[in-house]
Amino acid sequence: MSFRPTHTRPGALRLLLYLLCVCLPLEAHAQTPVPFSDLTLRLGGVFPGGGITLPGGWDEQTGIEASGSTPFYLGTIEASLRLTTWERLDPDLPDFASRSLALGWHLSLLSFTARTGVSVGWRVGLVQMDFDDPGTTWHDRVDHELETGPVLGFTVGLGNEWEFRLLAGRTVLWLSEPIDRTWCSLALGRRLRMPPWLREFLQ
Amino acid sequence: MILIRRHLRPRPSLRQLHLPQSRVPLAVLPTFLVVHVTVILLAGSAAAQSTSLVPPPDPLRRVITRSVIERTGITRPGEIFDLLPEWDSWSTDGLHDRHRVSSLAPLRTDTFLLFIDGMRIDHDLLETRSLNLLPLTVAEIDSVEFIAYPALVAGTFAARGAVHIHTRRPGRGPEMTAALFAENETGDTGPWRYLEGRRQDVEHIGPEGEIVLGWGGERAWLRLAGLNRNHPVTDENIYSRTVALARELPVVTTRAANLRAHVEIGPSRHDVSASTQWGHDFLFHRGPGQEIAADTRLRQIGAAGTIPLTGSFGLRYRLGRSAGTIGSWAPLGGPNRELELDRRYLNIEFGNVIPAGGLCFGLTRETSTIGRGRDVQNDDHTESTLYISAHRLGSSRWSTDLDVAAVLRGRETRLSTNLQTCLQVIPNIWIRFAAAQTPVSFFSDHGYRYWTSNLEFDLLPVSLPGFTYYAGITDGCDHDALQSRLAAIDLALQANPTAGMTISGGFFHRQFTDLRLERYMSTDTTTKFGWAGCLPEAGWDGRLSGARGDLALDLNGRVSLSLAGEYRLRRRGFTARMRAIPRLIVTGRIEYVMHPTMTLALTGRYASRSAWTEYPPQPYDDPYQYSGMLITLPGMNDHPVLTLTAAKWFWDRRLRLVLVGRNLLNRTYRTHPAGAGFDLSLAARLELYLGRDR
Repeated sequence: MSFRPTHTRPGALRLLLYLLCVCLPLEAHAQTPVPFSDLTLRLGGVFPGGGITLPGGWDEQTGIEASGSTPFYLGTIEASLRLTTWERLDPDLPDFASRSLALGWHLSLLSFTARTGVSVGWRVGLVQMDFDDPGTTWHDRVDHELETGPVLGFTVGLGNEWEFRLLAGRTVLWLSEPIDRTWCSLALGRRLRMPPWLREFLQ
Repeated sequence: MILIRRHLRPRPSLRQLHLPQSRVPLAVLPTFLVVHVTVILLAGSAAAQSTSLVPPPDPLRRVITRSVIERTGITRPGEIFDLLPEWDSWSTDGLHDRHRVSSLAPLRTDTFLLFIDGMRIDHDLLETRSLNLLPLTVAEIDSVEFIAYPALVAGTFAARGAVHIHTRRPGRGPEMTAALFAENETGDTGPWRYLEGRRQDVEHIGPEGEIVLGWGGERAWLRLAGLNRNHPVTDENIYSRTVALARELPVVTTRAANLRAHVEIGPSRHDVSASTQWGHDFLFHRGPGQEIAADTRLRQIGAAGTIPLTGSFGLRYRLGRSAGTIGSWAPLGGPNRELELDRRYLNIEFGNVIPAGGLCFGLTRETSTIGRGRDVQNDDHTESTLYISAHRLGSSRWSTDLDVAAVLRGRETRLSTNLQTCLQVIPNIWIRFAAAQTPVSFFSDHGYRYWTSNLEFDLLPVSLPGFTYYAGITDGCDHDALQSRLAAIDLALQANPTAGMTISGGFFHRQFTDLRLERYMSTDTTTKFGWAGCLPEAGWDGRLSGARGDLALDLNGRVSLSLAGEYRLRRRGFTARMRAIPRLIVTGRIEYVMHPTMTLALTGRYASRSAWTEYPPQPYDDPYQYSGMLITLPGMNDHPVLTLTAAKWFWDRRLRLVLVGRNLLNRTYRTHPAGAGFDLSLAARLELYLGRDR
């Protein structure tokens, strides 16, 4: 599936507003966890939606993502690190590695059990693109850009500590020609009690 | 006296009074809209008991405190102006900001004076008035005072207003503040560079690093700060304005260090400050018509103190020296223009040195040398200011500021006066009389000068959550070659029907007239109050000029909205060409305190780009100097449309993270691929504080 660069993405915003409108009343009935009471660490794979190909250039490969999330004053916040690679389709072009450090905010949409439910959120990240372009300096080889987009998550609890999470998202990488792409990630997570020193630090 | 009072207890603005809403009879409020004078008399007596000792607020003065700076997530000093709807702030590149009072000032006041703790700062050496280039970190700021009328500040008569930054005293014991700031703008080419054959890395602001070391004792404190700012000029729209061939890396850099110390010996207080600043910048040169890379160096040293002699009388002194150099680089390399500045001043005051006010006499002697470099004419002069300042504060009946200053430069003498009297005629009814007369500047070098005077008459029942009325008339006349005349009239009404809500309206008209040619050089007529459009016939000269509207709403300091619109027809220079300058300014701010350690703030500001887009900027705010040379480029303003700020304290308020997302409109007059008005940047400021003050 090929995604062409687009200039505006009103659809993503509309989707988020709709989901927020839907989920906010339900969230009021959900049990609000204590902020920073626990820490959930996840590790999983990231799969580009349908195999994203930049026209004339690169093909995104499956990547890995590590993240940590904790209850916030409202919803849940999450920090994540994602590593993916883009393979060249044209031999004259260099491959490049993409490293994304992102902050996300999630709000519970539906809660079936204490550990199983659906959530929506928004993610803002800084993407570092490292081109395999030998002979150039690091400054010329590396570029940074912002990416933003909504996410939709489905979490299945496995006991009190373990969980599976399927996360689907649509993000725009705000280059001079923005790159709009969808993706999903599947991660295995474990919930830990927040260390007192870290909880005190965050509070 | 005035300085002490301003320093220790700046007069609050209407929004800072936080007067109790319950003391206002709600039934009276609608009446205000019909006959406001009646409401003053009725409601005035109802609130007689509460705030009669509160000094009358000045509608032209604002004080932005540290709590506001922290709450709103200010990351750079220049962003403070974004909190002030009455100040215009604009930029040609997003870094070099310029500011002016947008409505009430009788003149174009982007030549305000800048003071840090009573010490005048030569921030205009670089032909820009950006607070972002000061050798000062945000962490050092305690409050910023905005004075938008002629006033005597620290022995200098600031004819066009002043911005006075008060720095923070360190807490007890040692402390350290370190901060990192970086911003990423969208629009990089990324992998497209290999397909398009060009690379654009739009990273213009940051990274910046700051560190402040301090120690506070019972009777002394010391603070040492250093900063390193790097602003790459990699946006090709900015880069194209520069002639940067002599520099491989088009980077605007500022490195600075400053030291401030305070000691109290007996009843006397003494402060010492020193700063040094160096870096690279791009300055506009009229020759090539582009900006040329320049090396800049500026050093300042100063001392100030108060020595009580007997009773409340004492001696106050300030002395300082500023020395700087700008070396510009020609396209073919090598410096082709140098500008040196050396300014020394000494100020001695004798009189009452207590905050309650009193009488003082002062003398300021300033020696400036500008030039000495190649291609620059020297401008050496010595200026002496002899002044009397009287202030009375603390009475429940009246309060007075009186400044009389005689300035001597060579054979020229100018007399500046400022008088503000607030008299409480009956409980809660204040009358304010304000008059000022000052020559704006010595323009003998250019063959002309002008002066202006102001007369205002106010009713200030400030014990209400308040009504403010003010009216002013300004008149001035040139004496010299150009024989021009400045006249202005200002009539305004400001009301607070409920706590936190401000409605202002009025009328303002000014005109420059060339008496030799009998031609109006520049006219501006402004009506203030929620309407922007052409007046069919306005002003005493019967000429169509323009209109301006203002509407401000402030709810408990958490939600504020202001709306201003301007439509001006302006004549410039000696040509009779009229130019329409429509402009719309909308500002709004919503704060949401999610937790005592977590604040979200959404600030919106929109300013249309038609006004104040003149390039190059006018360094001397001279309405004639660049007549006919100004170029109006589309979209050179820099006004973030939406700013979402999230500020979170960690680690028992020792660590603070501020994330700022901005949606920019035409920040660098580029056309963004996503369309005009949709450009993003994300900035982060991480601040670590180690000490006992929080």
